[in-house]
Amino acid sequence: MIRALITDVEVLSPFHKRFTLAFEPLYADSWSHRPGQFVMLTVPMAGEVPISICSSPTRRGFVELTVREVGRKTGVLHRLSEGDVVGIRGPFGNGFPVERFKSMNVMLIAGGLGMAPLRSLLWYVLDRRELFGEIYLLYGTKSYQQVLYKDELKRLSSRKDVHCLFILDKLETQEDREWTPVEGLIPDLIDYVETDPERTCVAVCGPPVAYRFIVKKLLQRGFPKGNIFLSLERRMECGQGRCGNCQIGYKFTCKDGPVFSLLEEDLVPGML
Amino acid sequence: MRISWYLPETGLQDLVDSLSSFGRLAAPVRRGDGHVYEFVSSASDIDFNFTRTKLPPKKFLLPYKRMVGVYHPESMDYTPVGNEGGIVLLGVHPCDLHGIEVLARFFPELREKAFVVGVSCLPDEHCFCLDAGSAFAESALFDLFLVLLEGGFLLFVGSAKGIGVVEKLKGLIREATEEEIFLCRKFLEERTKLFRKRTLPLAGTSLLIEALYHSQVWEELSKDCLGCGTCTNVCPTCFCFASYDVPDIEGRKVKRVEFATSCQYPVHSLVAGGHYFRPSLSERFKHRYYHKLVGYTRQVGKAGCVGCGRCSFFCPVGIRMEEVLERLLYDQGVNHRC
Repeated sequence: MIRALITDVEVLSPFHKRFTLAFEPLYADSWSHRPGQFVMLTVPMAGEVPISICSSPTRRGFVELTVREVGRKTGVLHRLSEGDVVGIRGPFGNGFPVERFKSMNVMLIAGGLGMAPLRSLLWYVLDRRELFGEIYLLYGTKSYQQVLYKDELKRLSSRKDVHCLFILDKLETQEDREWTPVEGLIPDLIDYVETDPERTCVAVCGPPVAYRFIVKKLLQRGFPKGNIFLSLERRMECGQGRCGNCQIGYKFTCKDGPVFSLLEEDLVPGML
Repeated sequence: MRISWYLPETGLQDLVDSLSSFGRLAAPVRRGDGHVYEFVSSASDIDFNFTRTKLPPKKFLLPYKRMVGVYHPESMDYTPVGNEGGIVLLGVHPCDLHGIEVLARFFPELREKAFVVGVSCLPDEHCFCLDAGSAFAESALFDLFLVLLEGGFLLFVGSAKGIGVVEKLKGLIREATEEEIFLCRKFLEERTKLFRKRTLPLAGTSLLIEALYHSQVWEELSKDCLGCGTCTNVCPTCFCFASYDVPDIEGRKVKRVEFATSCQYPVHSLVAGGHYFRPSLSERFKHRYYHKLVGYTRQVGKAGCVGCGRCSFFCPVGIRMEEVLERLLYDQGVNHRC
């Protein structure tokens, strides 16, 4: 476990905060990760939680974690501020196979907090823009209030080299309607994308219930299973394939995942 | 090279004493109507006349509740603890030797930590180690192995550390005679006859479990299960744990504690936000069979069931592993009963 200093805390929504962490020089120099990897974050005195990294490895010198306040440990974390310290182990997991995405179109499908791990991939493909074809970002949340990285995504929407499509469960407020004209669930958004499925790699991260519907829609649209990559969530206590909680079939989500190819679904029961 | 030696019964205390250099010694002790592994110092407390202990020897290797480290909340300096000092396990049946081997493949540090002395056993109606491929010590890790004979032990050496112990006991032990080796063979033959006559093709069963993963049959098989987790707690190879941090009263030091959990509990698959990945009892029931017979094999190359019979013996509603597997086979029209 290494010590990390909280250098910035940004409130993203009433439930979400983004923590920027810096390491002591010794560790900062040796730190590297792949988009889609996660860390085991020790909240001092409260305990350890697995959190995915939301910053891209192309931006070095700091690590960003987006955390929703949802339980005891994340509750304590949310009360920490700039200058406080936390412990970090990792990075763990396989991350997205970004080499595989090369010269392909890239479609990111994020639901809710699933935007956090995909933000790492998003900035990776944007910072290496020349390696990839068209880039699509599909992002669905309950309401505008829950949208993460609002300013950043608004700036992205005006960029010509990335297609941003947003959806909200219900368009209720003026803010909601200004954010997006589209109402519905995240799989509905896939219909708005005109792309050659064979030439497109898809990265999906969303709430557990959403995968089945997203995958169904993708397969209907003709995306090959080998092009679909899912970042999955399971209970984790160790990050190293020891605690046993994160097993999907015979795979450890922490070690063999958290990113799985949809091809693995036939071999690994209980994935979706 | 494995050489067989003979140790007279009176030499057991000397064996116990000579093993003390490897760490604290735990051995089977009679408690109430059963046996448990306990720390002992006197050979007279040890009772080798047992079929199965309540908890497997993993209770010393991966204690059910263990402090694994300490950190200071300001410096976040983390110091691992709990790996100092070895442990001697004296009187481990072949099934549990294989259980230790399986655990050591997940937790390699256990190999260094434990000095293991196996002991011969006789099966009861719950044992199916012969079908599970763990009825003999040969293919498992052990340092010494004792076969109980009239008036003494036939002692087999299984590791370099074991040779060292034999060297130390030179005055007490001698090489086994032809006759003693013959008696040992005879004992093993008689032992084999005591196993249940039906054989259970465990390897074939694991294929079936995979094939039937999405079948409705599990609903039926798990209908009596209470989800109490006894089976996983008494299992010699189950290792799932949860971890939590305990600060001291002044908040200057925080202990990290791991404790055994069970895949039979809903919390095992619960994630932040309240989603359960295995919400139903039948899914959790199925997961145990899948992990034991398919998962372990893929993860560490050795099945997670060693046929010790504890889960069947201690199950409060009498669910028996071998019966569940037999029913799986039977439902598929595989009639292997001869």
